[in-house]
Amino acid sequence: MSNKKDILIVGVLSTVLFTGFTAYTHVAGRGRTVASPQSSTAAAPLAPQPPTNKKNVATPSSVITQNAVDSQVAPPADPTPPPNTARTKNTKTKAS
Amino acid sequence: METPFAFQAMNTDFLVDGVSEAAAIAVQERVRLAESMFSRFAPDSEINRINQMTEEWTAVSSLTYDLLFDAVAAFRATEGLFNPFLGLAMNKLGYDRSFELVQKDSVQVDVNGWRRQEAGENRPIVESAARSIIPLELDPQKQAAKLRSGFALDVGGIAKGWTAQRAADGLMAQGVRSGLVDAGGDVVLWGKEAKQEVWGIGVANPRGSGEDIADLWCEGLTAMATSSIVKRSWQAPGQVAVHHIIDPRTGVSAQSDLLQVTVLARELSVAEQYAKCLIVLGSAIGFPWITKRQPNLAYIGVQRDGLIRVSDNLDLYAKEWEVKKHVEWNNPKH
Repeated sequence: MSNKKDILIVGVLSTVLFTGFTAYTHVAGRGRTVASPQSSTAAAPLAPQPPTNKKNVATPSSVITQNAVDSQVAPPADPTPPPNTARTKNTKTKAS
Repeated sequence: METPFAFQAMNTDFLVDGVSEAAAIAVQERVRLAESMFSRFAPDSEINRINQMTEEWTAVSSLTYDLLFDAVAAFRATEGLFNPFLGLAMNKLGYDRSFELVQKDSVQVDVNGWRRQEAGENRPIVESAARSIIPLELDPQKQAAKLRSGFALDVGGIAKGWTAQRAADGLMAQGVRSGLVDAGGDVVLWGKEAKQEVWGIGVANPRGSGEDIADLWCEGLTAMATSSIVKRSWQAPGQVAVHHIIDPRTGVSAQSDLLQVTVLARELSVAEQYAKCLIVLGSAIGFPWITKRQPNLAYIGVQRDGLIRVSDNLDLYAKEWEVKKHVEWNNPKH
């Protein structure tokens, strides 16, 4: 039971960190020329490296693979709204 | 939070936002006064009096004098490409009364069938030196103007933006820290918008309907003016379609590859002038020309093929922006 709980905690933390990184790269863009819907280009975080395989040393329970996380924990909804959706335009420039 | 204040003047819709009602009413009064003085269609306007009394000195108000001074400066700065002396050419094309009356008499223009005028076809004569001589003299002591015969003033290309900028300057001088004046699509804004801190300005689709081609989010002093060959186009029966932006080199409607141009500047009349110049020059000559001559101006241009061109200095005016690459446009026949 403890192992499953540890897996769950690490999985949620990893997903939250991944989501936060994605939001940062989208908001940081100041301007863009739109050709097609943008997709996230954030890289997935690296899975933690397992310790050197020594004799008589069990693999720490905190070491998991990314695939295991994906199969067990659904990523939470992106908490950061897309930029500018709450803004409204005041007027428009046009030929008169 | 202030409520936007809308009114009609100069044959278009004005909007004043972000200021008190009293301030907005003051803007309205300024605009109405300017309209009475600048319109070439109003019989008693000062511009019309100058046009009627060529070769004679005409005393004018300080408002009209200042406008003419800046119009002459714009003519010089653009080497005559911005030309406020083409009233007669405009009349010959049929734009000799307020535009809604021109439209009433006009055959509905099928913009998709808009075609270039053939070289030499129905061209009014334009003095060969029209771009170098200034047919208007100004006397600062008498506060008077004298126009050479054979010319007529048409300040329609500068009056709206110039008036809106003056109104905004007046509010800023009174300590109004933020606001927006929209003169029929020529916009000047300053400070931060009250609710969202940035002013959101769309750039209209040249068709006049459909999604905006760009969204700009601005704060601080920013002016933008848009010129288009689509909005004020008409067709007299039996004649080709024409529009209101005259190429001073030919005396007829400009025939470049640009449908619409938006120019951003710190002053609205400057944005107005250069938007028209770019329509005249087209993209291949105009964009390098403005980049070299006025590197602090930014632009968004729409070509006839629907391609949207953007200067690489939009960040001088917009904190954030989103610009389409292309707009759906049925290419007019050439």
